[in-house]
Amino acid sequence: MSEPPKHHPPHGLNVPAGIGAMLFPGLGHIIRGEPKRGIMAAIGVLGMFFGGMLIGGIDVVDSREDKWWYYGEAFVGPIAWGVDWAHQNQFKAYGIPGNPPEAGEAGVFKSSDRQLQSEHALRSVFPGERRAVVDVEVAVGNGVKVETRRLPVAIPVQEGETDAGPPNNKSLAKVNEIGTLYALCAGMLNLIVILDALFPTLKPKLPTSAGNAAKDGGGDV
Amino acid sequence: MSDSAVLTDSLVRTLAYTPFIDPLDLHGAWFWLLLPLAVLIAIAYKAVRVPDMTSYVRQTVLFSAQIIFGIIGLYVAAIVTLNYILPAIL
Repeated sequence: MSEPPKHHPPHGLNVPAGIGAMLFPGLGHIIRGEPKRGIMAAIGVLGMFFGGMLIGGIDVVDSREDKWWYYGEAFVGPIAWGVDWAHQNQFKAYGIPGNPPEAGEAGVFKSSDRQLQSEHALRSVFPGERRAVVDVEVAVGNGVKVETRRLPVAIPVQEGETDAGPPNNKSLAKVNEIGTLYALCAGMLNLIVILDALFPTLKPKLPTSAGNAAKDGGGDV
Repeated sequence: MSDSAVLTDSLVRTLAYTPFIDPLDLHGAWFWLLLPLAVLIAIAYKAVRVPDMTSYVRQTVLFSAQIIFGIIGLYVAAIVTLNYILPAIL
């Protein structure tokens, strides 16, 4: 029966590095004192994430219409959350039918809380439409109370509006798939990077001799 | 349409594309996009898995090649299975 070790190996948990890795890809390894690993991890993860956006557009990061893919993309961290926020709040619009606002007049748009979650739900603006923030009369609760809200609405482009169009083009087919795959792989790889930063692989300390301390480092494949 | 109008029209169409907002038109060459994906996966993965960063470049290149040849192998296996094996069985 072997004797218990005289010195317990260092605990394999580095919370500051883990938090740093969650905030920005590769930051955890930089905090741990491994800047080369951190920089290369950042290049890989961010290269995939922004490469996916370059290929498929901002449409590849969508927490509403592609939520299962977004659950993986979200592991990239606040960058992915911010991109999704911008996509939902700056590019999408509600599909509320109504009269388009004409010069000097407000359009008439009516909806309800239930409809805003279903048939009028937030969606990408289609070709032939434009995005406009207008006053919408929203029936609240059972419809007894009506309140006016400023909401982005998808409005059909009128004849003569030559420079109007959707704020972004929705990606389709293989381009959308590949772009989404890029962003998803970025999230999954960053999860590995986060776990490696949070739980560093430790090598057991060698029998004592001066200056013969083992270092923390990545494990083998 | 005059020359200046043609130039303006083509410039407007080009400017209508916004990088990272609009998608690229790569429907005819989408499979080539798997190559940079394989390289980027290798870069990120090997950054945290190599014990020593001195061998990082070699291991990254090797891993990229493994991914790419693996994808090609899966493609060949799928083609053989769908076009030869399954028709022979069914």
